[in-house]
Amino acid sequence: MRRIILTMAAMIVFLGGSYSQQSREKGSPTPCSYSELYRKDGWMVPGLKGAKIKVKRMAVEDSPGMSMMVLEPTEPEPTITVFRCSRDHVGRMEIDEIPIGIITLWAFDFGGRTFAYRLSYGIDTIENGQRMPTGSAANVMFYDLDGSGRFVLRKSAGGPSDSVAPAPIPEWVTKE
Amino acid sequence: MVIRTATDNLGREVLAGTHTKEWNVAARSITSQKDAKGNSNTFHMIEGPAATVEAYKAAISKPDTHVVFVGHSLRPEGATHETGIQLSNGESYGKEGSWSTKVTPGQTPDSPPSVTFPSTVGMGDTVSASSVALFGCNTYDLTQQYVSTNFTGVQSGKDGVTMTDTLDLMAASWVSAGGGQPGNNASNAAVDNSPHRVDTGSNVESDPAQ
Repeated sequence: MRRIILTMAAMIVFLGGSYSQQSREKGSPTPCSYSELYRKDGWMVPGLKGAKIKVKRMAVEDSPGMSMMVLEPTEPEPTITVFRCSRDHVGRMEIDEIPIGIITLWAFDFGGRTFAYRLSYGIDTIENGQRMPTGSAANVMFYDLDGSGRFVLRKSAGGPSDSVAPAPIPEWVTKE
Repeated sequence: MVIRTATDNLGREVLAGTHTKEWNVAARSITSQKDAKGNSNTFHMIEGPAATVEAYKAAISKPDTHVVFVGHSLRPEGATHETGIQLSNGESYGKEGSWSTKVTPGQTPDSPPSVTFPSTVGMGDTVSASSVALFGCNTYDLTQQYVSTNFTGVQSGKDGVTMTDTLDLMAASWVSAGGGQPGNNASNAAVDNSPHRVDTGSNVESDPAQ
């Protein structure tokens, strides 16, 4: 438990640092903005446990040596912890465990060494005990930065400025 | 041109083949009228896996076309606003561009297939349709991506989300009413009739072409 609390504290400090920097830069009310979340113990990738291979490994054309596999999650009721910037309160972050529908789950590797997952998920709501999809979705990338098997970096992947394939590629993956 | 696609928690398409009655009414409403040049209007629907980035790009680039999308909008983690919409094989950011997934089979039976992500981000896509209406959560955020056309988007209210089921009915109502302000009124009435709590406060708004 102590370890979890410490990890959460580290993450909050990390986010707090990001706010301070933006505030200094813009000299305006502190906004809520981040693009990466780091968790030392690694993030749980929703839908990964028990996932089957839907499409076998394919070479990623523009990234020599990189391959990609499409996974088919079997988890019937996946959830994800989201860190949302409030639309109504500037600077406020909302943390919530929400039900999701997995649209796609891709695994990226170099020579079989998986270093990133790209998750595309739709946000669900639960009404009268039943899950129902909303018209909102998000994409996120999970990275193993050191080959430890822990996917410690969670990075947004859902805008025109974000690349589809993982970038940058961690150094450990291309060694050997 | 209506383009709709969305999936549920098991990855199943949830819009294709639904609300047939409402969409039949919408189709009849369109095809029973003629345009300003006296030509009969046509109605096309592309849904599910066929609702690709390429199909969407072709639709929004075509003059004299009214494009309606129903499905997921995209908001990057950490952002306060939506940045695009999700098609069956990629994403579109309106005039800012799009990307899709293209799989090429291996050259021999033993060689693996390859995948690439053709993208126009940075170069942009053409938006020449007469109007574009996007029925996804908070799609009104995307108005700047469609400044060259008459744009309609959804504001998703306090909960920040609107059910796909409701969005689809909003879209069918909007088309049946012929778009514009009558369409917006019809869409908002569809929200009022929604049994879903999270839909409270959702409404559509439009911006004329600049």
